[in-house]
Amino acid sequence: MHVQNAFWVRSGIAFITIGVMSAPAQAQMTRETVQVGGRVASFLQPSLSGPITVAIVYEPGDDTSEREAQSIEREIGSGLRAGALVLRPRRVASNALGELGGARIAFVTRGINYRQIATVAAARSILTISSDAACTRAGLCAVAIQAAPRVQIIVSRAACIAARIKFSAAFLMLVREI
Amino acid sequence: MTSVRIFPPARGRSLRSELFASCALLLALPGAAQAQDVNYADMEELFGEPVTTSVTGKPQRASEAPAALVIITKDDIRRSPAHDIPGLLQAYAGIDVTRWTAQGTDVAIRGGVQAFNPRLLVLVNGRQAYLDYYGMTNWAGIGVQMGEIQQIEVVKGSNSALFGFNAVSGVINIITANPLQSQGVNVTAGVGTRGQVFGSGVALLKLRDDLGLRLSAGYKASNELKGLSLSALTPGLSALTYDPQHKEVAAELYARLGDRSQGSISVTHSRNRQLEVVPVPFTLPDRYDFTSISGRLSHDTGWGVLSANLFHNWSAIHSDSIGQPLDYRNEAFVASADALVRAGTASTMRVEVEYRSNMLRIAQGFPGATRYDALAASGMWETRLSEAATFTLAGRVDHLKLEQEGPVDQPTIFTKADFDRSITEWSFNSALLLKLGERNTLRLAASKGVQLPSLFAFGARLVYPIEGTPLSLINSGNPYISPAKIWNAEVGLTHTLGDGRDRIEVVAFYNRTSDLIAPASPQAPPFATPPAHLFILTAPANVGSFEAYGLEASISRRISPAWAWSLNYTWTHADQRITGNGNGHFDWPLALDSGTPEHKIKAQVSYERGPWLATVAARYTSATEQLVYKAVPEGPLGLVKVEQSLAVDAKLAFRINRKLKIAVSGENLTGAGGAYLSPAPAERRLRASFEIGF
Repeated sequence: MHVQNAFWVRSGIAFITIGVMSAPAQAQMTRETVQVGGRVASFLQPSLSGPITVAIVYEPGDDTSEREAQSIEREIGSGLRAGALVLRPRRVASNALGELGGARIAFVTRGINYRQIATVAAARSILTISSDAACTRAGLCAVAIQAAPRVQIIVSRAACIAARIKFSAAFLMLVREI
Repeated sequence: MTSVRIFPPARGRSLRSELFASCALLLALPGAAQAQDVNYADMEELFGEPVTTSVTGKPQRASEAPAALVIITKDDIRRSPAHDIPGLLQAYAGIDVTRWTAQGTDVAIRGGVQAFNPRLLVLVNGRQAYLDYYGMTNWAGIGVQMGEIQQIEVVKGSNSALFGFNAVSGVINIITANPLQSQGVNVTAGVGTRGQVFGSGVALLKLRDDLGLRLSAGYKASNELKGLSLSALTPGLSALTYDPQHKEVAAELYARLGDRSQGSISVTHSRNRQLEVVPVPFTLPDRYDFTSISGRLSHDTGWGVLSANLFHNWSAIHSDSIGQPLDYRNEAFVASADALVRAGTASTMRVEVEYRSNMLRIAQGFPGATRYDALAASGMWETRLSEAATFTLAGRVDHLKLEQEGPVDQPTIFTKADFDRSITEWSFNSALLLKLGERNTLRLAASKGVQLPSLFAFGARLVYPIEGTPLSLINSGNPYISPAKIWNAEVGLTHTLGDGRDRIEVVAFYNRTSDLIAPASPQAPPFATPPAHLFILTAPANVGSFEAYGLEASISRRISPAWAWSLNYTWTHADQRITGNGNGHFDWPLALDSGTPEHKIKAQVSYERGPWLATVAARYTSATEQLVYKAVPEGPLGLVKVEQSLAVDAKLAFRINRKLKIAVSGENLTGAGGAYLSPAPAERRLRASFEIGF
């Protein structure tokens, strides 16, 4: 009886809320998203500071991916300050992931093979950040960011464990960890 | 002359030895060697809104906290025309700021305006600024400069489950900037009408990558309110003048101990003098000396945060009571350790243990001291029930052992055995947050808080000879007085605007206090007068109940980088049921209902362009009736009307260059006498200042 009650309470709450929840927009990376991504990296442990290389991983020939990569590169310019970090961009094609060497963060554009980048990022302990929550929900990207209308951050515990990435506990209490 | 010197050395168990013992304990804790403090500045930048730990102990975004919460940010402070913390607070819904005198100030949340308000817990970086000796906050002496505040967190409603006793109508936690996270030097000085002279300096220094130092000092003086000596607050004391003055200095050393640990040690000293209105409402000239040391350590374990905190407050209060100077010394020591743990991806738990020791000694030849030792255990559990629903439950149990140290001060009817008493109280907080879409949050919350009688209420002994008789009137403590219990319920709906920093909020609240604590009153029936004794003894008592309910509606908006505005309205209905009070007669000096304004409307507009910043704030407050002595002190208690008011504050600042700024500001430009709820008419005051910052 007790279990049944809990089921109905949960179902009731879900019923009330599910109808009014809206899915996040399929937005590409904006300047705000890139800024948030840089700041997220400042809560890594051990902490990062100063200039770091940020890879922008794209799929050659995929319009969506290339446009997003261009947009991110444009936002970062020659160096974007985000918290204690200064982000320095490097475009990396998905068929040349060996060029990820030295990068601490990788912005993952839409349209690429998420599983492929996840494998390389895990091997090299690179923090992968995407605007596509599906990548994070699948445990392939470490972080998904929605910067508007309000900042929403999703962290994949599985992807972080795979890439040996650790965030501060205080940070993880402020985001949606799955 | 300081009042500290007249006291004999503390006897019995030494609080100092407890302090050292607890320091050792702190260093031995698992988390003591490593720590991780919340980086408020970076987190605010990341999420586009401030972050708090003052609601559940867990870091939370302001928009996701399970309580009615106001966070006053650095930018809010920069734009505000206010010159002190109560001035900042008065702009927000549900908050009443009463400036009884030029410097004697009280802050009340959700009803219950009274002098020496004991129902609001005030903290600085988690360290108690609330003074336990009388259960009040001396706002002039909390030892924080405006230029060093990172944010002020105001939690409305009880939060005893996290903070313990006296967090009953709300909690205000003032967070100072961390020099490891932001650095700078700021010096402000100025003058104003009515003899105002003020200055402050703040230095946030990063000595090394892992070592930071915060230094601050401040001075303020002015003339007392012109109308105070003729007001109903000072009957028969028209010659009383005592211009307020305060000075304070503080230092805090921050250390990063490795990548996951952080700690700090702070020292604060303040000294101030002021005319203030005491709970048996007349005006007294008082001097405060306050010293505090505190330490914090925290360690990020990956699965959570371990932390340990301690503080020791020394307060010495000298009161020039009518014909009888009084000196109090209060020492409070608190040590606590807590673990905040992520339990899976959807839940967070927190457990804490706390030890508290508190002692009050009154001079005048009374050798005894009233003290208590308290142990507390608390826990919090927060879980995400679904994508849109989060539930929080927190509880705490406090066990307190009261005692009289040394002989019982005479004359009295109480024996040492009467003080040998234990009190156990529990409190809780619970809340259900429902996200109704991307921008709307519905909050249902309930809580129970506990207000502990002050040390003065437990064990004071003041003797007043009654002229022309062999009798004395003894204002005594009452070791049998019970804590007051405060039940709260609220429903709040929040709609965020823009990037989430702006919002519209509507909250309906209800609170009820039982075992209401009233101070001893000469008007009250004598507590006891054994025939063989030549004295009449009055004592504080649990006298009845108080309830308040109402509605708060507020909107704040940043239209563009240049324009920001806010508007709020509060309706409060307050009602007290006290045996012996009624139909204009007051046995007990409490008028929590008539002293609370029913309607408040507050608005503020701020515009910034280039080097210019202009802000105008207006407050409408409906009429109240405040309790006073109708004749000379100790005459009959009665109410005096404080008229409705419309007060306007303003500020105009001009940045001359990157380092130098000048400003003029004014408070109560409309000259509304009732602007601060005091029977002494509020004044129009103007200020001019310069600020150097780099």
